[in-house]
Amino acid sequence: MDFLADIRWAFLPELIIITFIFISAFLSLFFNKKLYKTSQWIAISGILTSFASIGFVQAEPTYFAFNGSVVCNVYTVFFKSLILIASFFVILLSKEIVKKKREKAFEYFALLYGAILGSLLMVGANDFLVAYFAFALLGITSTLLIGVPQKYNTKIASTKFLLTEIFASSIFLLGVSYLYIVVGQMNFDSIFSALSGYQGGLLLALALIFIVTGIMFKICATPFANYAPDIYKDTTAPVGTFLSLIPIIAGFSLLSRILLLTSDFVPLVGVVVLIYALITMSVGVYGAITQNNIKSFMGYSTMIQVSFMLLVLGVIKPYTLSALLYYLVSYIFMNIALWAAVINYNKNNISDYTGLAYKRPFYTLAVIFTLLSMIGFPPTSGFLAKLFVMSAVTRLGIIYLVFILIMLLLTVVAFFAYLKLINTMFKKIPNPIIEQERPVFSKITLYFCSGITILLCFYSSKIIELCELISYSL
Amino acid sequence: MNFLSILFLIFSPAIVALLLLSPIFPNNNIKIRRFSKGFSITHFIYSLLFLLYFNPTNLGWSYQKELTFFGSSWINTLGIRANFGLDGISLVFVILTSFITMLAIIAGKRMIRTKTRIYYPLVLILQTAVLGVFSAKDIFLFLFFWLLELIPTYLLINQWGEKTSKSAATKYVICSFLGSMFLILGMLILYFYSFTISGVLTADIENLSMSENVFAMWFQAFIFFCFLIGFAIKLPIVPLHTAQFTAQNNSIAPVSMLLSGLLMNMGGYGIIRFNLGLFPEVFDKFAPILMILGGINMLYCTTLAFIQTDIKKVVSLYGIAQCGLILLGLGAMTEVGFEGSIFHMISRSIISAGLFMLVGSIYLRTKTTQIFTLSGLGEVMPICKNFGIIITLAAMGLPFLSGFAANFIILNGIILSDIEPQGFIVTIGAISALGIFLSAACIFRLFNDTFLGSVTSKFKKLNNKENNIVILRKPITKTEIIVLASLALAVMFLGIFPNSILDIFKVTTDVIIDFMKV
Repeated sequence: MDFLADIRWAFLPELIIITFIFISAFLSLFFNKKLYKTSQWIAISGILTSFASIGFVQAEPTYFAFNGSVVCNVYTVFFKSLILIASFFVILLSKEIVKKKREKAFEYFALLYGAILGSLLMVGANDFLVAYFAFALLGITSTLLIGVPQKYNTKIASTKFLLTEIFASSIFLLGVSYLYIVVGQMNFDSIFSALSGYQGGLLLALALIFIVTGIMFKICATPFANYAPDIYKDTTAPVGTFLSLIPIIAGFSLLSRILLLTSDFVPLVGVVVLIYALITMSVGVYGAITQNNIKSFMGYSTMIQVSFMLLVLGVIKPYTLSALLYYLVSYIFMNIALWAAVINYNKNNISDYTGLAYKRPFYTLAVIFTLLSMIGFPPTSGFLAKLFVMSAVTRLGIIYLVFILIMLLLTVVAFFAYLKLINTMFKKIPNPIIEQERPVFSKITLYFCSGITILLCFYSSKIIELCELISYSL
Repeated sequence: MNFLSILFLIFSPAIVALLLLSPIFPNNNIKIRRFSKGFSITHFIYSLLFLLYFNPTNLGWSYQKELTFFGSSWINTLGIRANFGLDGISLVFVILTSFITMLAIIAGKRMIRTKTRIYYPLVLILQTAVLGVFSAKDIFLFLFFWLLELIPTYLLINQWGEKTSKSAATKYVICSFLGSMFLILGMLILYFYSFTISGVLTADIENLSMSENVFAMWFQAFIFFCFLIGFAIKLPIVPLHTAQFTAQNNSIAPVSMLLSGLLMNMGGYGIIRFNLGLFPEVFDKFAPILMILGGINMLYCTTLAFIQTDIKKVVSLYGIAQCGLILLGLGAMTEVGFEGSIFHMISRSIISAGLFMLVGSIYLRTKTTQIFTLSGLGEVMPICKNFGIIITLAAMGLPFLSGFAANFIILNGIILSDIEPQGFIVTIGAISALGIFLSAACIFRLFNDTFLGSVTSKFKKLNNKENNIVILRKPITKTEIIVLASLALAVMFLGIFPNSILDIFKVTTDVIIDFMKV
């Protein structure tokens, strides 16, 4: 009975996702050719059911399930909703894959569900074993997802991803085992209670740095950032959307919880994260300036955005966490909008975007607002998000001003990279070619998400209050 | 005065711009142009009503209003509110903004021949941004509008003008963004360290203060210079002037008018509102440095103007040189000098706009701005020449025109200054007098070489109505006459009745200076 109660009160969204994995896998055996058109709708209905079931779990007070290895509270509910919202849009944008690969439609969605399950588990994990299980599940399903189109490029990309993932997860495991040597516990809460009164030490610092470094793989940050541009370029755009959203949300939820619990004992980890942030930003802006492939550009853009969130992680405290949460919310919508634009236009090179402002003015307007949000210009949510990040770091003390100054100067370079894209769209070409009608889902997604990006700037007060509520509840 | 809503004043241009861009508005160039022209004239009259009902003896802010979203403040938990208000200084800039934008929109009829559908909306969005900067009462709201202005400006410089305008636009926008980054840094530090003093998390300009000697001088100076760098790129101050300079001389005439008439004032306003208003003690200490920077600004730019062969470059260098005079007036730390600086900002904007308009008119007909190929245009463009005389004389600083009043008040302020030693003030006074003389000389050279002398054979038939080969080579049009005449009238009005403007902001400036002296 205890087991069933745990599932009822803490595991409902995951359970529904598992059910839909089985449904999709079963349908993929027999009905691929007949029912491929319905696969997308079945997938969306699964996500919506799961999202609805979030309302039925016990968030307040915190519920510990399965002997304390899975936790359910306001924080996890928030992150799970973010993941499900992001997956909803990823499935909406997957129309292209369904059309091209009919015989693999259900298989693709089964794999996508597996990855979503992994990220949901990672959010709920209260134990390093569960966290590693989620880590591996997410990694393996992502590897297979990248390889779905089964072309030469995607096979290389998927192998590259797998190798990097193995390396990163082994570093993560090394850190976990070091931590086990120091504390003798695997559960987050037990580790926290064992650490209180602990005087610090090299082994603990090393353990945490290894754990953090391992998770950096999931969030496209240094030292494992280099895979992002190459793999986004080689795989299909919907999988790129998935990779730049869901592992990042899950990774940040795990990372901020670990750092929030331990950073008081080991201040060194914060400095390491800040240095990672600066390196990620430098690599990102350098790559973004020189890039001509739009998907690779998206990879570098992801790195730039992630480094802002890492900046908060470096100084994480209950009162700075809300900046990270707000940034994540705004990042989800602007990233989806930009990927939707890429999928909608369906061209690989940035130079193909020349003169788009005169051919498709509203598309351009939406893209410009999204890009402005990525840089941090008003009137978009990116402006407030970056302002909150900077203010969170400033709040911590005068030493951090150096990091802020470097970050701000790098933002100018990032601005130049994004401006290049805007500039390309406004270049005049002599004879505008009339384009055929583009997929309607990606168009709706683009307009909807860029609209949300603008709305979040003005309707920020309630969102910030929500983010602060969540941060202080932890 | 219930019908005077500051929110309507600020946001109506942006709403009209969105209306013009939206598909429901007919895609007809003439309708778009006439609608935006009518709107901007109405907006100017509406802004004049604010002046009519303004009480100059009021010490605080007038017409205060908070913008709320769905019943709550903008960012309630962080103490950031969308508060708007006008005091004497901002009111004059608001009216000036409305005036110059109106003229830029009217001038667009002749100067903008392509992409009219986006020109007028962009100008109107720019107007909203600039109005917001002048009326924001909250530092982050100020930042919001400060950054909002960049993208319309980028597109305005980029989309029209010659080939070099693309790189000029990029340079301008990158440099401005770099300055804004320093501005953000300064604002964040100010925000949090003011919080540690007062214990209240607020971003309201009135409640922020660094003057309580809690922090070391170097720390305050650091924030002061963060702000100064941000504003120096806009004002501009040598050596950070290159972005403004290239942007102004690579864009078309109405955009140059906007750049020098509106955007340069934003820098000056920022220095007054933040550097002077929030750091009076630091400003007191660094005033001599500001005066030296101002002197360098004047001498360097006027010297540079003498060797230019492009009349547009001469005009933009003149505008930048005059910014030195603004700094000199502010650095003098006297009430007279301070008032003179603000008056000079207004006068300079109008004169620069007029000069750019003249250059634009000349370029429209002759297709060149090279000083050696132009001569004797007064013969073929007599009306343009007559307006040119008024505006040039105002730029040179002749009595009964605005330039004279501005220069005189500022020089007066510098001499009255009590900065020690006395020799420094005398030297600075001499330098500023020399600067005024040199800029008068370079503007006179401009007038002399273009309008006077004998006309080149190439341009002899400019006035010929039968010459239909190039449509643009027509005699002066009504729109140009309206723009030039209103600028000339404004210049004469400011020159004859300087007190009418000075009285508006006298109380506000006196309060700031008294606060500093205590």
